[in-house]
Amino acid sequence: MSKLSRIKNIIIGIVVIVMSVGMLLFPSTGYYMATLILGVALLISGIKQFLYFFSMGIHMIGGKVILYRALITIDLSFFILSIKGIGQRYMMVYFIIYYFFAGMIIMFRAYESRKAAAGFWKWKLVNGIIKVTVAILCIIYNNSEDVMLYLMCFGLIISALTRIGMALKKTAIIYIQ
Amino acid sequence: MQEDFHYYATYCAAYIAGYSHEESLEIAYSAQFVDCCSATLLKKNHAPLSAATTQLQSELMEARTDLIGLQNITRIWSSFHFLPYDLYAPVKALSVTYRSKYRLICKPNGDLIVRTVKLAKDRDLERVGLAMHVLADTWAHAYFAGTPSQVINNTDFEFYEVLGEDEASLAERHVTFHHNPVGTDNPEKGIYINSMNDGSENSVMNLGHGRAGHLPDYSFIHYKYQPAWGNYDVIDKNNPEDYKKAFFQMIYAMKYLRGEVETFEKATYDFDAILSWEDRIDTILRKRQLIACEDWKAFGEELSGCEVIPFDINQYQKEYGDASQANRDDTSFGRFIIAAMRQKSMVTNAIFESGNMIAGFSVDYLKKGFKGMKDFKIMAKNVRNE
Repeated sequence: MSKLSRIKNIIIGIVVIVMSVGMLLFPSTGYYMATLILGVALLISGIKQFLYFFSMGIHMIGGKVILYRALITIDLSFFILSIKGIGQRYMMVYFIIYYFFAGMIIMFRAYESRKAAAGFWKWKLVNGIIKVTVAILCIIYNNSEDVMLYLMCFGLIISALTRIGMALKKTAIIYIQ
Repeated sequence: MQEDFHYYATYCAAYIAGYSHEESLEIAYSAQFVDCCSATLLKKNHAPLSAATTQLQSELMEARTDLIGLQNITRIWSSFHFLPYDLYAPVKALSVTYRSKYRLICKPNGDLIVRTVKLAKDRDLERVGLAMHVLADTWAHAYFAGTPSQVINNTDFEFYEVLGEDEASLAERHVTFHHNPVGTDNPEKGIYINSMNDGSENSVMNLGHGRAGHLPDYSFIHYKYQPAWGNYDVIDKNNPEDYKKAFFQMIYAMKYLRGEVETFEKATYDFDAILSWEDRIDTILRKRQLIACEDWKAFGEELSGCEVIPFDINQYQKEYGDASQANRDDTSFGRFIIAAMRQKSMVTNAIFESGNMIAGFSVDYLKKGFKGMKDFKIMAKNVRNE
């Protein structure tokens, strides 16, 4: 990773953490922010797919499917950003499905790691249990905007910390002639 | 390629090249171990993780596909399983990323295979075995890249198996792919397992030949398809012929490593070495079976008159674990680790020097000193001792 990429990743990580803490401190605007983030994220994703098609997908056999996917994603983002109040339920379902399946898969991999005597299976198991527990809590408190907000902030902070951690890691390969 | 070629066929090639039975076994072991030396195995043995030569399915499924994760995946798969053919290949594309990925496409007889073989010259047998794995895979894995890429590695519906051996009886049968990860291939019905179609450019589903299933790994199969990068040109991949060339080239390379041949040059094969066994080898390669271990084993035992013991992944791990920290590099596993690091370091440097950043940064130790992953201190120490 170049120095510029490292600095960029650290700055993005810090901004995301500050934003997440802000959302936790001012929960009244949290739901609005969460909807906005999801809509904008989809919009960015659609634009990225659009650019991906014109830069790379255009050279691929059957690459037009990327263009169609980009248009559908952008359309979906407009839909989420334009409808007030209805997005909460969708986001809740998204979080529940994501956390439940991610947790189950992590627990399954913990079992595989244990079989391979890899040594980090306990950490994976705990991680998986936390995710499944969070999914179950989401089902129990399925009408709570707060739970959704906490989940989103939790996820954002974790990914921001990972981004900062990766930016600080030594990654160059040594070459000796 | 699988254990049948990397272990048993490599044993046969080494023996024909002039190595003794014991030496051939060491070489074959190292060649096959490239498909086993994952981060999980290294972690279990408290060995440096940078020496990983493969990634288990479970590791791949949770591998990060951010910049760092992609660099790690590319270093492993490009260095050991999909050696790039031409890092300066002309590409008509504006995107730097597309050009970079296109230039990682693997094919036999590139400049890097010469460097790979020469890296093993006058070194231990572990390096010879590792180089033979890389060489053999350039034939099997041709036309795919060792980095996740939908636009390079994807395949589409136009995928046919060519049945029959002589021109008059050739027929094409459409290949049906399924995505069942616990299923098995059925060559009789033409049903094979492949990775899922994932629209994300950097998904691990789009790594190497995943989208073509295990077809490149089977010696018997002859197939035609349109690669994602090929501008609608059809690739005609005749594995029996390619595998035979791989076998001839391994013999030639190992004769060079033993000092019997003075130079190692691209596209050179030792056809004469196996004249008396050519039909036998051809029969093994063309037999429609998912794994040809038994046939290669029988051929190897016939050649040397000794038993070719089955590959055991745990064979050298205890020796490594029991050795003191200072003596670990002198064990078979320790030597393999250094061989792996040398190869990864050489290939990553070549990719980096070509202006391609997909495999990440490479620091030249002689020019800039030790700036990078501390795992490579083992390699630096080994080079000093050489």
